[in-house]
Amino acid sequence: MTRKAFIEKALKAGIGLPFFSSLLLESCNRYDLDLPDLHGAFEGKVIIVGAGAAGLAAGHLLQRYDVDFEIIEAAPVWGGRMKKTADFADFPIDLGAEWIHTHPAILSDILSSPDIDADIDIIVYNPQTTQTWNNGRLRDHNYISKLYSEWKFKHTTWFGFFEDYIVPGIEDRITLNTPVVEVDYSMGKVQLKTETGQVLEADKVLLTVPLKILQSEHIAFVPMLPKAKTDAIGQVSVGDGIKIFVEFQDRFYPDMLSFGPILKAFREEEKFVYNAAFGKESSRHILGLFAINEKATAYTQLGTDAAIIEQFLAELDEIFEGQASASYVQHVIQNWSAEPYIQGAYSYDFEDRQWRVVEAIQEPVADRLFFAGEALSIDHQATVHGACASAFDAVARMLKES
Amino acid sequence: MQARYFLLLMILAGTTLQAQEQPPELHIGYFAPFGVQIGGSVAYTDVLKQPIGAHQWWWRAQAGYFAQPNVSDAVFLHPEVEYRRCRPGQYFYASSSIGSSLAYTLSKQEGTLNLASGTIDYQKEGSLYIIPRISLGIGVAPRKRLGGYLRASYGQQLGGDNGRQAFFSAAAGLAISMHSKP
Repeated sequence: MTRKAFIEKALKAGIGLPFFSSLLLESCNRYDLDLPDLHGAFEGKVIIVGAGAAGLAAGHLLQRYDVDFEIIEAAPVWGGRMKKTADFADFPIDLGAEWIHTHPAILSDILSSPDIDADIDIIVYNPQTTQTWNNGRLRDHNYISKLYSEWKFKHTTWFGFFEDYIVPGIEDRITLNTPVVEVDYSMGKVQLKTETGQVLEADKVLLTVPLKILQSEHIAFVPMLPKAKTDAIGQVSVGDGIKIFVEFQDRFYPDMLSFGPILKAFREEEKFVYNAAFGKESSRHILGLFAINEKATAYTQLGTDAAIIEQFLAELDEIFEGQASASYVQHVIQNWSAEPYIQGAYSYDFEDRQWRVVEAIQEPVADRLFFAGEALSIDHQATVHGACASAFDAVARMLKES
Repeated sequence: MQARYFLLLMILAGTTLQAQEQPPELHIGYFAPFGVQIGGSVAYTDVLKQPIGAHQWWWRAQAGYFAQPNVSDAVFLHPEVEYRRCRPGQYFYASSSIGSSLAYTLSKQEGTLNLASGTIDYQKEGSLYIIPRISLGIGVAPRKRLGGYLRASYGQQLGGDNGRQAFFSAAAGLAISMHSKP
């Protein structure tokens, strides 16, 4: 059962606290990501499609196991849904994945390199002031600080973590600006056709593209993927996603602002405003908006950045009595739905039982096509470390079954 | 103002007004602020005033510990006065109490993760809070040696940098009679 499903069932049963328990337990449990225990040698070539967290983590692992591999990325930058801006404020800002949703030791597990003897500063993300905006009323819920905590990077970002510790070792294996349009696995080797007509060949292919790309049939498969797999891919809902960061002259907002009744707001986790400078060494007042699904569509459907920021400032003005417009300095918008090779936020809901859907998507095809990504981590769906765990799992399957 | 309020309760709770017929109790139990934090407490509970019919008045001095995993650890002292409604000759009672905690919290603000070992060296910050709270509960007075209690509390956490915060907690545990009945 997903955390969301669990919370929903608990709430339907009139039990509020399990929701908070799940928040607490999720953040405090240490999740160990173990390196796959591999036996035997794989001599062939692997192509990883997608240079997001899963693709990069898989590359990092294949490099470690001395496997010949190449990472093909459609976009002009690697990172997928990890992205940063370093020049907006006096600290780097995550425009994509931002929070460390499990014990930070996971960073060490992802690297699994005892020879990297470096330190990384982290923030205990425990917002002290929380408010809700519901039916035109702003209410304090500061006790939420006693129920919720996660972690964030202090001086870097998720993108920066990969940039510093993973990408340098595999950078020469990453090819950018190369959208794959067809995967032909009808023969002994897998042939990948790119948008420019280039044909790449590999013994095995690991697809780590966002599910939305598979759902929109951006990539054709020859022969077509099994029906059970395409059905499962279609059973995952991936909605719109947007993040907005606004700098203000003054701080007039709490550490966290949710929308709607407190239980519903935190249960859905679809939209919140937060102090993006929380715990950072910053003298600037940077507010962040995180919105997914319909809450994001309300902005993305406006079309232009100008319309989006106007709408957002108007909302803030209503909540904070005009202080937003009066104090506005600058903004940056990251519309994930408008990214051609992302097209949305992340996996959110499953039409069938999550494990059943995930297993069907994960199942290798013809022992040559493998799949990984944030949606394919049953316990840590929609997280960077979940994407990495899924990549580790896919690599283990790939090399074990060789 | 907060400190004076706390001192007043300390004095009130520490004063036994009447000779006691019922033996004092030692309360040991689980203390869970917000239902999800974990902790424990031990308390000395004694009669404050001679019972009148079903009405009993007790005082209690409690000390305990609670933690928000990965975030903070806290120790507290909590004096309170308690009213129990317990029919003569019966052991089951309903109770309400009022008191104020003095809590010292050590919070993790940030840390340094060593990427080789996965260990984190945290920097911690201490804060002092006063938490006036009221409690409602039920219990079973020790018939011979052992009884039990169940309490829920609501209050306000005062102090620190972030103003008032609601505080609620649940507690359950054993009540141990400190004297054997003749």
